[in-house]
Amino acid sequence: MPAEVNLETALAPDGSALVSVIGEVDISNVEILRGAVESLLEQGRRAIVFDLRRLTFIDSAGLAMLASAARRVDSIALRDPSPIVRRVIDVSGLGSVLPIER
Amino acid sequence: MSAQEALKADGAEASGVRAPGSGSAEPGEGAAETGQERSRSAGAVSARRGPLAGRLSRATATVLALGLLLTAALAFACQEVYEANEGRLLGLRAREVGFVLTAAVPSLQTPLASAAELADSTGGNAQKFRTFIAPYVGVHGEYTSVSLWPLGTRRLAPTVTVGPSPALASLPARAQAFFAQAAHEPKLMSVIGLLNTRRPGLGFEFNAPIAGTGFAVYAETPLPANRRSTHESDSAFDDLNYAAYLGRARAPSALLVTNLRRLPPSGRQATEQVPFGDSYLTLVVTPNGSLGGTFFQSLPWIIAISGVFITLISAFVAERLALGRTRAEQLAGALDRVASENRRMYAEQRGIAQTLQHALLPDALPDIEGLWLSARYVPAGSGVDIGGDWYDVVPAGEGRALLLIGDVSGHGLRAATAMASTRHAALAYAAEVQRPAALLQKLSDFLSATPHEYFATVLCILVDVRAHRLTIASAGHPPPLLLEPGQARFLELEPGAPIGVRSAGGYSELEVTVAPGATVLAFTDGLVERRGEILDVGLERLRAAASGSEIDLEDLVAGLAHDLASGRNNDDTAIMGLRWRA
Repeated sequence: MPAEVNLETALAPDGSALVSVIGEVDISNVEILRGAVESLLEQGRRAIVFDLRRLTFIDSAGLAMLASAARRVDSIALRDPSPIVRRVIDVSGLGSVLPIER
Repeated sequence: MSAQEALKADGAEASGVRAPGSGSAEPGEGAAETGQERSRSAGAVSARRGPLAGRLSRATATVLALGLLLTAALAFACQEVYEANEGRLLGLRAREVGFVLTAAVPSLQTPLASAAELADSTGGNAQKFRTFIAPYVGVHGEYTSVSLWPLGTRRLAPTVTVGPSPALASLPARAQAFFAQAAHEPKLMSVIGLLNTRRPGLGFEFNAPIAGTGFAVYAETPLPANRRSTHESDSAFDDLNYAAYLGRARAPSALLVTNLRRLPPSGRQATEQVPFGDSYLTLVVTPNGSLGGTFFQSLPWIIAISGVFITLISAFVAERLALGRTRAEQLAGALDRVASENRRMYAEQRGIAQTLQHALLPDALPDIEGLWLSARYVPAGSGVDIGGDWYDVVPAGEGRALLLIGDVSGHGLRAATAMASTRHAALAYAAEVQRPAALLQKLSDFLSATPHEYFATVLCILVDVRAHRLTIASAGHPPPLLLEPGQARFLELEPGAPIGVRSAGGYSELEVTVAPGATVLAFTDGLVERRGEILDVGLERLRAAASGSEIDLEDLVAGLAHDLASGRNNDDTAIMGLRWRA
């Protein structure tokens, strides 16, 4: 069964974007997230904050997508990941690539 | 080519197109292909109409039959109503004609009656009679001749004649009989038909009401030659043809005048009898065209033609609908075949994927002196995709071995090929460097050089068998579980970034000395990761399941793989265990 994800994107006047990721991200729907990121890049957004407050699950495909996005923007940050997600990020050694906003 | 053959050919074409993408990593792509396939099938089906057009469907035939039947019935009914109406109208017209004729009788009778009165009162004065009657005689008058006959004389003959000598004067016998008969009917004009004479005409007589004496006035008017009416069309009655007979019978010998070309008249006709002096006129009329108007005459035809037209349109529509339904059924059949073909290919792909997966994993683990080794791979519980998990054990000489376990993100051929290249790169570097951190760094440098959309977590453990020592480095991989007598703990270390993620930080190493007989379990996240729970819960579950058991390593690994991984996941799982023999 494909995971359900909803994205809400807010564009700030300073050129940054805030993407709220709601639901679950895994291999079955990671393309939705990728599409949103591609679209922001096309618009010239060079700073992306992912609001992960309501993200309940992310698999390695989702993390790979975020890590790949991190390479293509000037700045990336994760806001309020749940403990589940935070743990996955920590174990994956992606803490330095995907910094958690303080 | 029959429809079925065409469908089969179509199915073959679709699978031919499908095949190259069949191993695609992305479920999204798979879905898109299925969509294309559908539209392809739909196109093929709609392009084929030949075999269907030959025979009308039952619905169409029914519509056609009912429509034509209804049209015929309506047209027939309309025709019947028209006929009845025409008959009624003709009857009315005949009566009208009768009224007109009846009204004309006094204009014939009155001059004669007045002349008879004058003759009686003047004793048959010829001069007065002539003066009175002259205006009624001649081309513009009612009569060609009018004569005065004294009654009661021995030899019946006119004493005064205005106009030519009457025809009756040369027929003494008929004159005798006529005047005798007429004397019985005073105050009423008597009529005689002189039809079989040289100059056919009608004779009219009026006598004063003194029986057997006095005077009778007799007038004649000619009939047209051959009885043909000279006035073919009369403005008031030009929609009628007629034949007029003297008397009550329609005998040809009694025909006075007609404009019919053929007698007796055929077809629709009406007969009217009107009193004419002491006799009768029998009128037979037939319609000259349609009395009710041409629209009502054409109405049955209009109905018939419109009905046939509407029926044909309905039949066409019905046929189109029936055809559409047939095509939909064929399409459904085609889709059914495509679906079963897809199911078959899906199963085939799953088989191929698993075969490939196992081909990419080592056939057997090498023998390392002083160690037991065991490993299991469990494919994802659903889907055809190949996972990206792998493991390797590389002898490193001097009683040492390198254990590698990795997990490439994603599924499918792309993950499998990424896994294969990562694995082979790792094997190559293992021959060169043995420090786990250095190995991971080289691997990372190598695989981060090219841009891609996946990463691999890799755990690298250098095992020094004799020294009972482990050196561990992790590229974002879950920590291994160490089982020693009386305790079980995860060897947590600061993980570096996954392979393929360019990161500033390098890889750290953790060195652990273990007790004799210790067991190390390395695994991929499929064994511990569950949706909706924090990773530590899964790790704890594994620890609880693995600790405290005295069973063979082989059974332990198989048991964990079965209990924690089999069929529960959308992710594949690899698990590898090593145990010191002493």
